[in-house]
Amino acid sequence: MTRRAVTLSVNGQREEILVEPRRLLCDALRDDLGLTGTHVGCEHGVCGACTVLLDGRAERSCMTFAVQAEGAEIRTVEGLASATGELSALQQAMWDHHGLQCGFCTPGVLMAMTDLLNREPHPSRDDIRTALAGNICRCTGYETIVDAVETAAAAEGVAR
Amino acid sequence: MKPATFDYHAPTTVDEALTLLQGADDADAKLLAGGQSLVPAMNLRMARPAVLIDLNRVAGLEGIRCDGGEWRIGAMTRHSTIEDSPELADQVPVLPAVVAQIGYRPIRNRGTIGGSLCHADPSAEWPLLARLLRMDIDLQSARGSRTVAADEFFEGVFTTVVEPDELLTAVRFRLPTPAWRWGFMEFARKAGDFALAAAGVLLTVDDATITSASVVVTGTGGEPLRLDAVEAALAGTALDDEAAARDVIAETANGLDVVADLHAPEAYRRRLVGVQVERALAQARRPATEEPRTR
Repeated sequence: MTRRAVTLSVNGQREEILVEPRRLLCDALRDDLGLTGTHVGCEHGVCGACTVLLDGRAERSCMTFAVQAEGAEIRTVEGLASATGELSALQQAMWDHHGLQCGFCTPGVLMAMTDLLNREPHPSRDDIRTALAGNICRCTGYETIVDAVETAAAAEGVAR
Repeated sequence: MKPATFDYHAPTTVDEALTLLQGADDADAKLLAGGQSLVPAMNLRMARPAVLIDLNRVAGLEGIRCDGGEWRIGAMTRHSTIEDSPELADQVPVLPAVVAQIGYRPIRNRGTIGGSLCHADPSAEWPLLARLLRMDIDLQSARGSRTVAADEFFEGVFTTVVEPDELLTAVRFRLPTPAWRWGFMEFARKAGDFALAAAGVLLTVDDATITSASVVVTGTGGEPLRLDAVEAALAGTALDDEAAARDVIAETANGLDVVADLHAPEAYRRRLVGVQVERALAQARRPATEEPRTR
């Protein structure tokens, strides 16, 4: 199958990859670009582990082909901390509240909740829970994730 | 799993997309809209289209507008665009309120109204909404265009009247006059999950009397169902007559032909559908100022 050249921006860096049309965006990020922070769980849109920001909006990278991301700006979990390694307010809150156990769902949780806080800076606990319904944590550590998002929301004016 | 190989096309105009679709006639071509059902089906190899025609770069298929009282929503309009539309929140609040319950936000950011209608998942929100608001659905092919009423559009589970060479371009609808109220209730195991049952109610109201009603349910296992008997029982009753149609709802729900599955046996499904109708109706009767609750 013919490969296509795709130019996209990932975490602010311009990248060019050569992929088959059937290459999923999550696999292009992990295998072509070496950004293995984006996790691949169910591959059918249910678990949320592969969530990334595509042109600023949270999307499932397992349900988009890499060729469709031509010209797009993608942000993955690797792009959340500052260049000097300072964690985002949400990442810091996840650390402080022990919002992760095995960590498999964490990249997707961080991207989906970053998107929530971008749209809705002060969500209620109910809002957080509803938004979190799209991310499955099999350690079932939801309570501390909700605590973390609530804390990050309270840290007003902190760059996300 | 990963998708099987396919030929990929990314046309930029409707004409180009239709020509590709016509040319690929026997090659098992699929149109790719948001891909939130098609791509997982391809990942699971339940779908193996030989040709994929991506509509995401086609100009003119996106957008919401209202001309002379007629609303038009382009096929490639994302669920989240509808969810966030201040214009719809103000004029057609039933749409953003119900659309906010489709899957999860990352799915709504990509999924489209046209894709959902063509996919025709029996538990999906858009087919129900299309029938509830009596939408007209515009289809186009290289042969010409036609409009199909939502009541004629769905033919069963994952089945519509759309021909292999046709593209859904937009839906159009008008709101009932002089005034209308709505209610919607769905039951799912968790927020964003496929609904076990849902009901939508649209009441046309004149001077506190229901002049006509639209009542549509999902949860039977087939396409969304219009409950004619309930609509007839509601017509002509007072908006605040809470007993009106109650018996007919119970009777209609009990008589529904439903498909049992792992999640719900037949009797439970019938009961669940009836309860959703009662709750959606109660919501439609509520004072206009009250915040709607939809799950």
